[in-house]
Amino acid sequence: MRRNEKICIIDDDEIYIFLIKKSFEAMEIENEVISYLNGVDALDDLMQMKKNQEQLPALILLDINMPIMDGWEFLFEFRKIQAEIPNKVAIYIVSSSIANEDKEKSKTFPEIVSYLSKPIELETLASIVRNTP
Amino acid sequence: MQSEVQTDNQPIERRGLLQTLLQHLPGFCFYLKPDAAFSTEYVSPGVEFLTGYSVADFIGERGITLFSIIHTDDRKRVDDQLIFALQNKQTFEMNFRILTKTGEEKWIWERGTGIWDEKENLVAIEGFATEFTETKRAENIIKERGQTLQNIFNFSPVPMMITRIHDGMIMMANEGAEKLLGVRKVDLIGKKTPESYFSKNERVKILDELTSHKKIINRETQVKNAKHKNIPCLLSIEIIKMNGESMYLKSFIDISERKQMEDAVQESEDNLRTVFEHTEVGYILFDQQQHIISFNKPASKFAIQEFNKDIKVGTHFINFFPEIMHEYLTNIITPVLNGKTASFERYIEHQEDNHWYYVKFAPVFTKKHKVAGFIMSIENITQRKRDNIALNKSLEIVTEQNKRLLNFSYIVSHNLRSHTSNMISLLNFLEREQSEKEKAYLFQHLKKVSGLLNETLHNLNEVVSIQQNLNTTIDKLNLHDYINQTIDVLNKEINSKNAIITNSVSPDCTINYNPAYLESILLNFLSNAIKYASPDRQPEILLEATKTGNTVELYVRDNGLGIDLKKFNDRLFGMYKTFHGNKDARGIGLFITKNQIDAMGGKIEVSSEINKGTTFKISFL
Repeated sequence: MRRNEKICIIDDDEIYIFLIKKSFEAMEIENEVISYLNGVDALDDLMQMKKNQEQLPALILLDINMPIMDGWEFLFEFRKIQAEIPNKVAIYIVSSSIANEDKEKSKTFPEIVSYLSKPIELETLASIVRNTP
Repeated sequence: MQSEVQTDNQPIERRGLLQTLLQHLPGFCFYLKPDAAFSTEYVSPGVEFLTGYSVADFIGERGITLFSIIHTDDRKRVDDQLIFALQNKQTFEMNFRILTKTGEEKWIWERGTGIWDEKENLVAIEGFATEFTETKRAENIIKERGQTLQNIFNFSPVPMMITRIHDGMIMMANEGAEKLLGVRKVDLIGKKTPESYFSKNERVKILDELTSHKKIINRETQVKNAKHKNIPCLLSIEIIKMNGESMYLKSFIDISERKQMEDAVQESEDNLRTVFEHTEVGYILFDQQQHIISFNKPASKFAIQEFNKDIKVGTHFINFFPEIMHEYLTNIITPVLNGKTASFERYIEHQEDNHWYYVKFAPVFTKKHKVAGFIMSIENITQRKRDNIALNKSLEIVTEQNKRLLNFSYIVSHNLRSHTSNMISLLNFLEREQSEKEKAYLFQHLKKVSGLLNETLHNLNEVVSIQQNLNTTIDKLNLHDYINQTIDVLNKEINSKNAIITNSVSPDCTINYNPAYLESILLNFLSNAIKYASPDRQPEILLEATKTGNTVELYVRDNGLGIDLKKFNDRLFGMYKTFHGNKDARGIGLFITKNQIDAMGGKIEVSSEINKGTTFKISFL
């Protein structure tokens, strides 16, 4: 992942967002991190970026259980604009849900790279960033 | 030729006595040649008396033979009998008709044999013939017939005895009688009839019947045999004459086997009847015209209990049932009369409880596979049905509880895990953090997380308590009044939004419910309706109720924002689900409400249209 590329966190848990940011700091990952508390806010912002021909985040860490628009709905909407995005976006589901059906459902979305359970280890986070092209 | 005959006759004629005898015999001796025509070599003078032909007629050249005067109708038989006897070197004895010289028909009895030389060549046939007069013939026939009768008597499988009336002496007894009585014929004949054959009573009755009717035909009685075993039999007695004396001809037909079978049939019929009468299932047998032929006690009990009707033999099938069932039953019975079975389950309404019955119709066939009628069986399955309903209910409860448990485990995992995982991460950072300022910042977060964790636990506790309080207190509550109380509680919110709330629930509408739950449920729906009002119009909330049986259905209709049910339907009542981005939304209200309604055995249904409004339908059992 290049330095100038953005990382996006979509999660209604503010403390989790704080912790991820803190983790990036600890690992000296200096990419810009943008975060949203629900799917709608994220989608609106990403649409705006696309409209402004800004570069979209190369990595999205997406939660499932969120108010207003949850992770699945976000994915559903995001698909519609994905084709028009010039750069590739790697999406990871990061959820505290241990429901097996969520894990299974994630497999039906080809754009999802992997399904991760909270809490994420620092090493895991580091390798995600490393492996994102 | 002549001399030879003379020579042959000479030794016989020499015997004067024999000659005299032969001359006076009403018959003749003959001696025939073994040629094809059986020509006569010698015939005694008696032949003339019998046949009208002289000795010379047979010996001479006129060609008359003893054979040629036989009646043409008898010739073949005589010829066959003669040849058969000669071939087997047996004596022959036969009766046949001849035609005399005057054309008269006469019956002749003849007996004779062939004579053979040392080389087994037939050299002659000799014999004696005499007139077989009418009387003799009759006697013969009687003798033969007597023999035949004797044979029939002896070998008939029907036990028979002939006893002399005046002293009871057994004159004749046959093999059948031997077998029946277990006594040998020789030990029977010549003895007096033992009195023990019949019981004293029976003996008197038999004699009485004989005196008045002179005969007995097929009287069912019992005969004691030599082993003192009573054998059931049909007794017939006829008075006959034998040698001028009056006799009883007694015949017995052993019916012990038939008796046994009859008894067995009777017994099995008795058994069936016992089963039929003591089974719990009601049975009614109908003929092809659908008329009752017979029925058992449970069937009549059923008719009295359920329809207050007495069943009667001969009445029509349909009269058994109340009129409202007639059409239904007519449709059911048609295939049965065509040889198919039919059945249905049905309940009959009663004040306290419905009675369930399983009714089955099965056709009854004749031996030729035609429908002769049908059997209707009526089984009370109320208990089975009750058990089934109870079982289904408990299965439903278990399924529902399982669902809730799973849901609960997700809630626990999601809501608790998110907080605890945050705590772990925060503590990890805190441990490694050098900067005091940063430490204080992390600590602040930690405090926040622990507060959230505490709140989550509190909410979960509330849910658990609802689910535990299944046997919670239930009172008769006035729904109308409770709604008004809730409106009072929400007065501030209602006024601030200028909402119009209409309580259209009938003032006498009551439900049996837990008071705390009802308060909570009403508060939740009403506050939600106000909270999610549309900013574009004055909020209007209408509460209505309908009552069907024991179930009251409350409708809470608003003209608010509405919910996109396509998106949210499955999560509407989930924990921590919010849909409008409202600041106050905690995502716990509907979840708790749903749990309370479920716990009371009720239901929530929702219909909504975005920006038009939402209607919640709550069923109170």
